[in-house]
Amino acid sequence: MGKITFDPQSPIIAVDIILEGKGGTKRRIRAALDTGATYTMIPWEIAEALGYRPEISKEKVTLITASGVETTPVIEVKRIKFLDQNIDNVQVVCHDLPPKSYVVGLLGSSFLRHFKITIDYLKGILEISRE
Amino acid sequence: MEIEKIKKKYKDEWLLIKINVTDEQDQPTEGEVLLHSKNRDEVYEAQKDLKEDLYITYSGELPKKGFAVAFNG
Repeated sequence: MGKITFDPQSPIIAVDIILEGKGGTKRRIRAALDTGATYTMIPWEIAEALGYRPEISKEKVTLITASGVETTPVIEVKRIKFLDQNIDNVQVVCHDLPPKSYVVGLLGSSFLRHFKITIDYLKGILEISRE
Repeated sequence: MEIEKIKKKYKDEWLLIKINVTDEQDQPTEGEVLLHSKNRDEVYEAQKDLKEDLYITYSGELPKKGFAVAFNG
């Protein structure tokens, strides 16, 4: 079981996740844990550094954001790891969050749905496990 | 250098850090700063062709008042 503490007063729960590319290249990014997001989301430039080519992805989704509607590519990331838990072949949307987001990605349901996630806002503790 | 010390030294900046040491949960604890910048795009650009284990993060604190977040994904 993985466990972290967080500030319950913070507007988001920011976590560090590890993305693994096709050739074994790793990028660790700060992401917002978002149980309401369908997909995990990473920046386009990070996807490219990991060896993916979002521009030729045949799978796309429509994102509805505060600034409008956009079509963005979906890629399959070889492995995503959060604390001591990882999932292979995770579907991920390539999209840049605004710099003022303070995080560069979202850890969404395409990763989180494989786990039991416990968020204790009273104590500021987040736990993730397989059961 | 310890990651927490790096974040204090370059407060309110975007950081590109080469990871040297991780803890038992594979979280980065020590590393080497490759770039620090107020501009996130500069960090994205600098990491593009590097093959090392790299950590991209923001060292500032999230504002607790007058700031709300709504993500769609």
